[in-house]
Amino acid sequence: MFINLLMSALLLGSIYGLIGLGYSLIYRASGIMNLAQGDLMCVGGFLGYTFYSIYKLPIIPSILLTMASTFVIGCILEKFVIRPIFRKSTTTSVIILATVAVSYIIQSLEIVIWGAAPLAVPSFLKTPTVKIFGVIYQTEQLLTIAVALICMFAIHIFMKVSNTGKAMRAAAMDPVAARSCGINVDKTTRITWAISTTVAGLAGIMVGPIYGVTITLGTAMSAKGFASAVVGGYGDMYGAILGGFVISSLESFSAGYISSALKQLIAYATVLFILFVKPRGLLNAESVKD
Amino acid sequence: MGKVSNKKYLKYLPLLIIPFLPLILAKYSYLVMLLCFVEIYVIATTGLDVLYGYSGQITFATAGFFGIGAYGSVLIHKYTGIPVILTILIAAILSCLIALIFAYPVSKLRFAFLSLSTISFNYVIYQLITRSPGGITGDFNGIFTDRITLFGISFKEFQSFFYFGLVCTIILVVLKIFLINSRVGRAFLAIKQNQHAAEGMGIDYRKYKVYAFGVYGFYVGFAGALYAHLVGFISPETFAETQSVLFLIMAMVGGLGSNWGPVIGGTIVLLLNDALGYFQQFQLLVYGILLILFIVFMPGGIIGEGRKLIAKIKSKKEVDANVES
Repeated sequence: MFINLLMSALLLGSIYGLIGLGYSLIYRASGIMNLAQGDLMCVGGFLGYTFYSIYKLPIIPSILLTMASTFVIGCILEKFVIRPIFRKSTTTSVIILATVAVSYIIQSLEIVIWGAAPLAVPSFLKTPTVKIFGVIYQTEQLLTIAVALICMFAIHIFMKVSNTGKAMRAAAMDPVAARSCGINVDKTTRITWAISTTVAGLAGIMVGPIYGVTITLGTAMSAKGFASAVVGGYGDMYGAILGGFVISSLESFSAGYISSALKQLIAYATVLFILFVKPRGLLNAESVKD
Repeated sequence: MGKVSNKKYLKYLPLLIIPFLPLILAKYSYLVMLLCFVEIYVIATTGLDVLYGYSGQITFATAGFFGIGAYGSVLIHKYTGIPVILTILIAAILSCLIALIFAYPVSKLRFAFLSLSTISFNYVIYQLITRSPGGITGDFNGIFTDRITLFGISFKEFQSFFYFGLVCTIILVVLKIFLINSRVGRAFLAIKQNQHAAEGMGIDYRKYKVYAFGVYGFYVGFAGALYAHLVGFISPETFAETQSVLFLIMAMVGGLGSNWGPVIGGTIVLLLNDALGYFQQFQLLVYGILLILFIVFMPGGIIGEGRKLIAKIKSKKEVDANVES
C-alpha cells in the first residue's frame, strides 16, 4: 500500500513539477504567471498523439517534433500575444487575465482540431510494464519521473552555465541593466517562454499513455502546476519539482489513508496555508539563488 | 445653474423605461427571467468593481463567494426556518465576514500571488461544496430551496422577482457610488495607483485592502443568495473557477472603476452568455477573444472608451467652431 501510494505520488509529482517548472521559468523571465501552462501541456499531448498515432512516426522523432512545435508555439505566444499586451498595459493582473484568455482560445482550438472526446495514446515503449518490489508499473511512469528530474537538472545547468542562460537570468533580474550590457532582453524573454512551453509539451507527451489526453486535463494541471510552484518557492527550479512532490504526496497519501474525496481539498488548503504563512515557499528564493 | 442640472439628469431619462420592461415583455417570460439574472450579475459585478476596479486587487474567487452566499442562505433557511428574505442578508454578511478573514493574510500578497491565493480559495470552496460533511449541500446533485416571500407575498413569478431585485440593485449600486465618493473610496484609488505613496500619505493600506474585500464579499454573497432563491435550485457548476473569470469579463467589458461600468458590463455579457448557450463549442473562444480585445484595444471598457470618444467629438466640434469664428 505504502509503496503503491509513494509511486503514484512520485509519478503525479513529476508531472506537476514539470508544469510548475514552466511557471517558475516564466515568472523568472517576465514576472507574471502563465495560467495557460496546463493547456500548453495538453497541446503537447495532442501533438504527440498526432505524430505518433496518426502519422505513425517512430517515438523519438515524434517527441522531437512535438518539442520543436511547442517551442515555436511558445515563441509565437510571446511575440504576438504577451508582448503587445505588455507594451499596452503595466498592471500584472491584466496580463494574468490575458493568459486566461489564451488558455480559453487554446482549449477551443483543441476542440476544433482534435475534437472534444478524450484520446487514448498507445504505449510507446517495447516493455509496457516493469515489476519492482513485487509491484507492476507502467514503464512510462518511471520514464516520466526520470524526464522530470533530467529536465530540472538540465534547465538548472543551462541557466547557470550557458551564455543564453546567464543572459536570461540577468534579463529577469533587471531588464534595464541587462539591456545596457548589450543583452537582447526581448530575445531572452522569448526563449524563456519557448523553453517553458517545451517543458509543458514534453509533460504532455509523457501523460498521454498514462492518463490519455483530454481538454479538461489542462485546467486541472494548470492549477496543480501553480500549486507546486508556490509550495516549492515561486521562481525556483528545484522548488517547482519539490513542490510537485509535496502536492502529489499530500494528494495520494490523503486519498490512501483518509479519504479520496478529501484529497483536492487538502492539497488546495495547503497551498493557501503556505501562501499565508510562507509566501516564498519551502525553498526560499532568496536563500537558494542559483 | 438650473438648466445645467436639468440637462445632467436628462440623460438618465431612458432609464425610466426599466421598471416597465416586464410589462412590455410580459408575453416573453424567458426574457423577464433573463432580466432577473441581469440584476443579480450587476450586483456581483458592482462588488467586484470595488475590489478590482478601485482597490486594484484581482480576484479569481468571485464564484466562491457567490457560492458562499447561495449555499449559506439555502442551508440557513433549511435548518433554522428563518424567512428567506432574512437569510439572504445573513448569508451576505457571512460572505462578508469570510472575505474579511480571508483578506487579512492575503492583503500582504501582491500580483501573481494574490491571484494564486484567490484561485486556491475558489477551489477550496468548490471542494467543500461538492464533498460537504454529511452531504448537507447535496454534493454534485445540488439542492432545492424556497423562493423569496415578503409580507406573505411570494416572488415566485419572474415579474415580481424583477421588482424585488430592481430595488436591491438600485440600493446596492447607489451605496457603492456613495462609498466610492467617500474617504474610503479615495483611499482605494490611492492604493491602486501607488501603494507606497498612499502609505506615505498616512493611509493604512492593509486596512483598506481588507475593507475592499469585505465590501466585495457582501455584494457577491448577496448576489449569490438572490441567485439561489430566484432559480430555486443550486448545483456546484455555478461556483466553479471558470465562472469567476466570467465575472471578471463583465467588469472588464463594462469598464473598471466606473459608476455604471458594472451595470453595462453585467447586462451585456450576461445576454451574450445566454445567446452563446446555443453555441457551446464557441463559448470559450468568444470569451478568450473578447478578453484579449478589451485588454489590448479597449482597456477602459465600454464606459471608458465611450467617454473618450465623446470627448474627442466635443473637442473636434470646439475646434471647428473656433475655425469658423
